[in-house]
Amino acid sequence: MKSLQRSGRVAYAGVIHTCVPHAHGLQLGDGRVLAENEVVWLPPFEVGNIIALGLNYADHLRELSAELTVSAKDEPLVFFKSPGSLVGHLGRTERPAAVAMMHYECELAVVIGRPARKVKAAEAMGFVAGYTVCNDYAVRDYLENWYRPNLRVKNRDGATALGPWLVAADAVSDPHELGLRTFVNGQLKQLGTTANMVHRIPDLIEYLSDFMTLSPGDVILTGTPEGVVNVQAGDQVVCEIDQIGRLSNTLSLENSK
Amino acid sequence: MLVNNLGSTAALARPARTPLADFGFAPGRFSGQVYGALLNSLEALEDLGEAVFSPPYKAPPRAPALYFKPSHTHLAPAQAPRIALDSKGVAGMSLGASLGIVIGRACRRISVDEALGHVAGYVVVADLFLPHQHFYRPSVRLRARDASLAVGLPSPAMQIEDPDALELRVIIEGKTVCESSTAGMQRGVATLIADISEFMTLLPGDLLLLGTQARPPLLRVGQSARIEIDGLAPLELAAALAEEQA
Repeated sequence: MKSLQRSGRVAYAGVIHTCVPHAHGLQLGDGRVLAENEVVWLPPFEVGNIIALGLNYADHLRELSAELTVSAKDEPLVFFKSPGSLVGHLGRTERPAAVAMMHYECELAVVIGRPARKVKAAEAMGFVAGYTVCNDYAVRDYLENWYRPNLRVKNRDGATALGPWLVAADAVSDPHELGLRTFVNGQLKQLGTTANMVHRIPDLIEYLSDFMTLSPGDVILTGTPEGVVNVQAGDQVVCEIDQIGRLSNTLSLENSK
Repeated sequence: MLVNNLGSTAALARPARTPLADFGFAPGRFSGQVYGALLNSLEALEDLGEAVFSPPYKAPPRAPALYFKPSHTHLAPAQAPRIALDSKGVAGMSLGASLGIVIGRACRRISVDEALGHVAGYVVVADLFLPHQHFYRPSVRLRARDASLAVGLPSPAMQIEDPDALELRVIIEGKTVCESSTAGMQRGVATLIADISEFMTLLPGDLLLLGTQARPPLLRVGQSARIEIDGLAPLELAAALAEEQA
């Protein structure tokens, strides 16, 4: 029997379904075929701890080097995010009205498939269930230098898009040979490759599992390459990673009370 | 949902829920999300002196600076905390003691005046971390190790008249090593909640640590500890084990 390699989670007509890709959009577990915009897309798996990497691309490091004091040899820059930060494919993310710089970050998201504690890099890929696409927005106006990047920058409600598909690890030829692209209103703005990661997936799993147990559903957001620009309310931002998927998000003006 | 190579469907296991105990009033259980306020103690901030105005900080914190204690850090009731050994085999982690604020109603863009009405209860919390003097990067390796957060039994908020004026004591091996108070914070309970709610939603069952005391004592392998906060059930920590015994 052929193994299924892509799965998603959607809400449709008041019920949460798992689904698979279909030529006309998607197919629910019960066989119904729907267009992509007929459903509400959820993150494609039940998300546990969200573990994010900062400054994990050599080119992005150079891009920001004027304001940074880090080098590639430093310890990985790791931070956590809340479940409330998540939003699914075709979702909307709020942009505060009064800020000068809010940018997307197209990232390969690595999903853990079994508990990992003190795992060596050589064995680490066996703990990966699969991959998805993440767009991890940042509002740079709010950067402060205490536990930077601080939560006001990186942990805003609905500002971490995830999806649309969870792609099984064995369906991806080499997770460090994938092109990443971000389009804003159809225009290519960010172009990179996962080959340029400073700390690679097996090394990240070894590093993290040395002090914390990774559990199924935990997700590691592996950082973004250069090419981040300011986006505005109304912009459509599409993050695309070879073999993994194409994640679309639209910005809207933040509601205030 | 992932399908394994045999063709049968196998959902990714549900994320592990926090082992923190359920409690007896709404919302009844912890969500598993635990946030700590960094350097909320004015005394702790003052200990950094003029350094807060120098690179890499350049200024004291403006918005609340928060850190996470995710579910892998949570100790089940009566479970012994784990102490990391340094390269010389010396064991000791800072024993941060904090008032824990249990959120009862969703908090998003609420005012200081509204904030206490969103609190379900208060609880004694022990937050263990590896000592560090630099706060520029999030340092999750130091802050979020397995089995490094203990939470007592919450009391309903109505039983605490003023959460910003509670005496706090840390006792290690029967000896009081630290006396402090929930007063003297840059942000008290209401202001902290209101300021966080400006940029993210706190949800029912979320646990917010008001801030650990300045100059926390070290907890070593084999030592037991007790944290007392006026009006709340004391938190007893079983004798700490070395991380390597995990």
